[in-house]
Amino acid sequence: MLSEGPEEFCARVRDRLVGAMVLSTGDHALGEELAQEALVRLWERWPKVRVLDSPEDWLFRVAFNLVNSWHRRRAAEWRANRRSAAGERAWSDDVDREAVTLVRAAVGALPPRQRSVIVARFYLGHDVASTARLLGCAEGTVKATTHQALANLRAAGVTGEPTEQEVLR
Amino acid sequence: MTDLESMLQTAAESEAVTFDAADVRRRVERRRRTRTVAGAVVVAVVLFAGFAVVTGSDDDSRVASESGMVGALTVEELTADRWVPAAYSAVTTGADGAFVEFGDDGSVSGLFGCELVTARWSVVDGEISFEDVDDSQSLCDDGGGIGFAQILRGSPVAQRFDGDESLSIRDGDDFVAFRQFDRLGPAPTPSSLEGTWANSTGDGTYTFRDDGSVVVSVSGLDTPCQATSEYRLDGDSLTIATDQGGGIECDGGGVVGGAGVALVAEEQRARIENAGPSRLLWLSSDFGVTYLRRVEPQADAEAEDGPDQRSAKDVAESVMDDVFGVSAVTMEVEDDGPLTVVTMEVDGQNVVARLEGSFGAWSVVDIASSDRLTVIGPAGDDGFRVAFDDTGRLTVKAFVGENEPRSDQIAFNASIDVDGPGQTERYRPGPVTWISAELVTDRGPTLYLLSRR
Repeated sequence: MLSEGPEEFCARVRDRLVGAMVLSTGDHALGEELAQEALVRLWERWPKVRVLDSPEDWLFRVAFNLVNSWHRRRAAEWRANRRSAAGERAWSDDVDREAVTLVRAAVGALPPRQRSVIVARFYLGHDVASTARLLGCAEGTVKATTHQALANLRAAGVTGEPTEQEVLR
Repeated sequence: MTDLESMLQTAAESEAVTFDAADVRRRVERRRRTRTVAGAVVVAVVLFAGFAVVTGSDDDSRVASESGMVGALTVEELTADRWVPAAYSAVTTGADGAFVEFGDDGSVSGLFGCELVTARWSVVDGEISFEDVDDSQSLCDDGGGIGFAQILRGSPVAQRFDGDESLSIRDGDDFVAFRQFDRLGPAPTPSSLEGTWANSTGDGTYTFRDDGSVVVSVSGLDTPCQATSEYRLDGDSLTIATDQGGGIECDGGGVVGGAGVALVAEEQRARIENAGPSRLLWLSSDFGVTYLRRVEPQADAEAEDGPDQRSAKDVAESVMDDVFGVSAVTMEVEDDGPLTVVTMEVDGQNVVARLEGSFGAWSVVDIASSDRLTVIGPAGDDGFRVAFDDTGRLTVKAFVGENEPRSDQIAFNASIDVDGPGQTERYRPGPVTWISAELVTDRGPTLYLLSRR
């Protein structure tokens, strides 16, 4: 059971969660909105969540569900647009924005499960087994989906794919 | 780190995060306050309704004094049928397939999405109480369920509150309002089943044909798919045969169910309820209760005629001009990306209508009836998958008159629409006090809008 409170937990996982949501949606503001929404849900249920084996897995699963829920995503989009209109975006100085846009668009255009698998495996660093647990599917599904997703990314111009060994790890 | 991992990390983290844990905490607190306010409104209506039951009908009062009562509800009524939820104090989208049953052996069991609740119930001095409450909400991975177990663990009051075979179980600000399944409407006939019905989340349809076949379609998945089977209707028992062991095979892939449209071989009790121009098909099985909205054949036919592009303002004006005799006196349209905000003055009162979605992409094909607008969705250019036939329906509901002690109006106050379009037929004419609209597409319902400013 976690000894830290929800505030500390939020601070600890925030950046990775936002990053996963940005990749999943292709949009920074929307990713932040969905990340916040997932964290709100975690906060509201903290007494139950903190005793789970992996509160982080619970949080990311909620977040992926939010991304894949058209209804909930639309509500977040509305808020994100409001926020985007209100402020400047804070890009890192040395970032290749064109490349970032390409990668985000390519990942964001993947079907939901492929998108979740790519983010879980190659951004969050899960292996096949833990990805399967996180997404609630079979390991074989993760492997097959990974291959499909990588092919789609390649077709979208995103190169640098991992080796077969890395895919199956 | 592989090149792909490096590229993903850059794409994910190249912009600064603009919120922190304190922002999350503030949002949690704001949401709690909002729920409290909404709950207070609901409770006020429930209390008023309860008052009306006590004072408004001599017959009801007599029944209450002659029978074993649970609040204003007889034990016989409580145990006679399955109760299906019609409204909640908490806004939830995950309660499809929900029901609760009271056994005459003192057991009560309910299913609300992922939340399975069991308990014992008893009546002492006319008041219902619950004990041995157990639930599975910890299994809800996205906060699904409706917190029914928490209500039962409190000091719940059960009450029939509008003479409409509705049951409210309330604990403080939290409540669930139910309707009795057999009171929903008549059992369907084969001819009344024919046509297409969409589930409330919009990602599944049943199409019943006059040759005894039914096509079940599921979208919202990686691989949208459909399956054809046979159905049999015997009284209110509807059986849909399946050879796939409870699901639909999609492209040889996994068995899918999803959002209340899983094909099950068991018998389901079916009821059809008319709600003005909309009809609802309720299916009750051991797995819960699913309600489906009738997809009007006319909409499908007209959708084939091609799009008729209109601006957001044209759409809003047309809707407002046609709905229930209400006209927009003034109207301003603000385009804001995917959100169009329409501000209008209606019957001397300012309301704000937020029509989400770009109406430049949503093309209007029909404003044939007084309260219905048919649109064709964009061809996936917004990054979302387009479902099978791309058609959608925008319905606008106006709530007129003062609040009346009816369950469906409580539902509105709880920000959940139950009956769909046509509710106005139940209300007496009067000044418009609320207007709401709902865009229903195959890709999922989007609930909008509106509040009195």
